[in-house]
Amino acid sequence: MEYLLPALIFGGLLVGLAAALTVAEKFLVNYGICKIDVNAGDRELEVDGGQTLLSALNESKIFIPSACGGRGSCGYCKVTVLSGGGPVLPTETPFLTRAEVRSGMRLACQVKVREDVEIKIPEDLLNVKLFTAEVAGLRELTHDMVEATFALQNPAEISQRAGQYIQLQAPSPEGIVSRAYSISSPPSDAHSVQIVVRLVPGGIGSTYVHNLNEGDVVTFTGPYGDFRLNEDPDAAIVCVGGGSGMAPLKNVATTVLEQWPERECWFFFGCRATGDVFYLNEFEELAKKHPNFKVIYALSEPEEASDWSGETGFIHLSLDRHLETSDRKRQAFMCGPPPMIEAVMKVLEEKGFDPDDMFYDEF
Amino acid sequence: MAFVTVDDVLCTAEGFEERLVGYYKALCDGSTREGVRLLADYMGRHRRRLSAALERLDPDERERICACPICYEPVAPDVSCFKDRELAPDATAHEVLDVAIEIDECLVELYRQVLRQDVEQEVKDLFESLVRSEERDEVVLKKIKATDYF
Repeated sequence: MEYLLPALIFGGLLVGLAAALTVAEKFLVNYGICKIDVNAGDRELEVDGGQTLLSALNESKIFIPSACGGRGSCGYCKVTVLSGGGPVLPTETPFLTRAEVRSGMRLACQVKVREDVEIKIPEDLLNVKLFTAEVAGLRELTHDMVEATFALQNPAEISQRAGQYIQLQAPSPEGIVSRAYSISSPPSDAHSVQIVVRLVPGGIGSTYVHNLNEGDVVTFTGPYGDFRLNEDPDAAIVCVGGGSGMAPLKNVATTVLEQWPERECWFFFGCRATGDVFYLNEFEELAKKHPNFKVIYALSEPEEASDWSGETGFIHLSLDRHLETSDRKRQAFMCGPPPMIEAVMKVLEEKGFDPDDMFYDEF
Repeated sequence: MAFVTVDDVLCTAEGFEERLVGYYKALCDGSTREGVRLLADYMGRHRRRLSAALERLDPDERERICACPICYEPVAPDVSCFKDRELAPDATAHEVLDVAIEIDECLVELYRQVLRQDVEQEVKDLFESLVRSEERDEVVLKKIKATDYF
């Protein structure tokens, strides 16, 4: 006890000092107005100094993707800071490669704006908007998957590329947090956005979506994402998903068939058991109308008593069986857990796919 | 009172990571489930986060940091998968992921023991970065578990 008490007092003093410094910086240190130069003069912002770069950009309606509410745990909010960002923090390094650090890449949520800053961000991010929308439809797909359709209110239209995603704002005990969900509805449907969400026990975003009711109002930012569909109708499209990784692939396949009804398109989807299967009937109907649309579902653990007549095993094995090795132009889009994506990419490379023609969305 | 250096702690962590890579390899070779084999192979190949963190340092800085003293020797990770909870060959992917998450938590605790001490800022930075890496991996593993694919 005689050793414990001084240690506790010392520890308490340190905590108190750290808290006092934080409060002092917040209320007493005035960095004044700082300028943020975005993309060499494309936008010039004047913001209150002392806040994070992520908050400052959000306030100025430049929405950088972030899934952790600025706590530095998701690594999504990467921007290139050309000047004025201070040194890279240890909270950032796990998310940045050496090449990224050398190029000035930073996590916007970890950079404090204390002076004028010059940054570079992808042009696409300047087109990201904040939307409000009404829940227009909720459809149960499986025991833990729901499809939610949001009718856009303000703005009333969205311009997206197939495979992009939104960041839905969900309430949490620590305030509003954003969660990324891919858009499953095609770009031709400019007035609404549809997402597919699996309920994760304890998950803030998925619990929020699963508890929504028709008529509720939601807010989100978007669209984000790097998926780029090849416009050449001779280039075959291969979509591969697993688990809950469906939404961006549904969007890509629907868009392909809408724009090029004869285009070759493969749709592979893997899950564990029959209770996890969804959208199969819809895709089979599409396949009847589009002879070049091939749909392959595979179950890794089909119930013995089930009447499953489709393929069994993991989806990368189905891919290996069906795709031929070729040097023709093909594009692949993947969505699922990282080990699945690795396994699929390995097969695609063996089949002759160019790595530049592979796009993936983890989870 | 034992005086140790940062290098001693990093050696402990490195040895732990090596054992884990071996553990995942054995799991990958011995499991009767294809999903577990895929998972274990993936986790074994993505396990070496300590060397990745050290590679980010320049050699001089790394040498200096490794020589820094630490007052109290951290208690080495004590993970059930190495003793009383050997996984059966037919263990499910969820069981494997639970063990992997436990491993991350043990390493976070090891690194936090250093962070709680009065150490130089560069040492703090390195261990803070390691904590973040393990916490990030924990989130990934929980997400993989939530996809229910394997």
